[in-house]
Amino acid sequence: MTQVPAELDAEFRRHAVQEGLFDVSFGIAESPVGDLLLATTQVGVCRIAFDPDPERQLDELSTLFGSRVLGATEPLEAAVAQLDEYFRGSRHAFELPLDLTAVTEFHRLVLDRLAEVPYGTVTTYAELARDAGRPRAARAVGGAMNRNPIPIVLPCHRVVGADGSLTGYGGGLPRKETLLTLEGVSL
Amino acid sequence: MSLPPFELLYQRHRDELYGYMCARLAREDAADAFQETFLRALRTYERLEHARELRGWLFTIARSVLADRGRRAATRPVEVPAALADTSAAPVGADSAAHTADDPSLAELTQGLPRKERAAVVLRYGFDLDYDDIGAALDSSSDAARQATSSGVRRLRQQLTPDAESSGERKPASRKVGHDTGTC
Repeated sequence: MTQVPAELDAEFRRHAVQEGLFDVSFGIAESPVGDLLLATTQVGVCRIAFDPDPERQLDELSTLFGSRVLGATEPLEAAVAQLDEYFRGSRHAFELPLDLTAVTEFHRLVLDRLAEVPYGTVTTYAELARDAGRPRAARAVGGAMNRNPIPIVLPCHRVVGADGSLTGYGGGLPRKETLLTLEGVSL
Repeated sequence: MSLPPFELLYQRHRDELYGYMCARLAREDAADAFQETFLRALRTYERLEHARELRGWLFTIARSVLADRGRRAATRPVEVPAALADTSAAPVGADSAAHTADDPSLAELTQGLPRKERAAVVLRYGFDLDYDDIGAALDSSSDAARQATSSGVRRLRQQLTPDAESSGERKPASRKVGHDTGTC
């Protein structure tokens, strides 16, 4: 079968983006914690996944944001650049528009508080629950962290157990450890 | 059934659809038509009510893109260079139609035909469309498209070999044309 030349494939994707013909655009970015799948809507970044296999992510993105899901890197350039700066240590805060329309109100509230946890520090699930105005919801906060759609940018790796243990992480504990070490947190 | 992510649909059918265009158009035109097909698909994807026959849907768009290109080619004024003006040596009638869609000789050969016949001949033999698609492209029926194509070919024969027509000389049997003429 005749294969579509790479240049033509790229040109089609570029034209589609220029015309705004996408609900979600996604791409793969390399990082010190492994390849990441990044996705953005026209509103902002909507997904960072440690599992870079698009097939496993696309169905969910399509259901949440619309079926015009297209691989295209242009809309992700700012996110890729800022992540690169973060991993090089020159960026301590992200300035990216985010699309959190697919999360519940409580989840959103927790993520908003999470976004305020400074670089190089940690907080606990209980503190975050208190900050979110739900002091008895530490366990629910843990669940919300586990379902964080935009890890790293929304720093759920900075949330630890009351005794200082790493407890858990959606991307696996070794990644959490790497990210905290990168930020200079002594474990 | 909900629509699959467009990326998966694109990956599944892009090579086949590109091959389809390459079989009918020269490389550059095939690339344009390929892009146009998928851009049109993206423009209307959200409005689809079900996920059945998505491949057929894509190829319907592809045929529509080809038909539009054929229509434009058929109505485009062609300036015939003096060296090409003498078409008496050209092949005749349907046999002559073994041209790719971008072959200017078909446009030149047919420029004396009435508009509808010219469009039908170009779409049939230049773009390899079937009569249903030609009818759709020309806002008429499949039968009318067949008739217009047939009249166009007959008129070409008369124009190019008037002696043969009047003497009742038999032409060689027409052969099926327009397949696998691509250059991708």
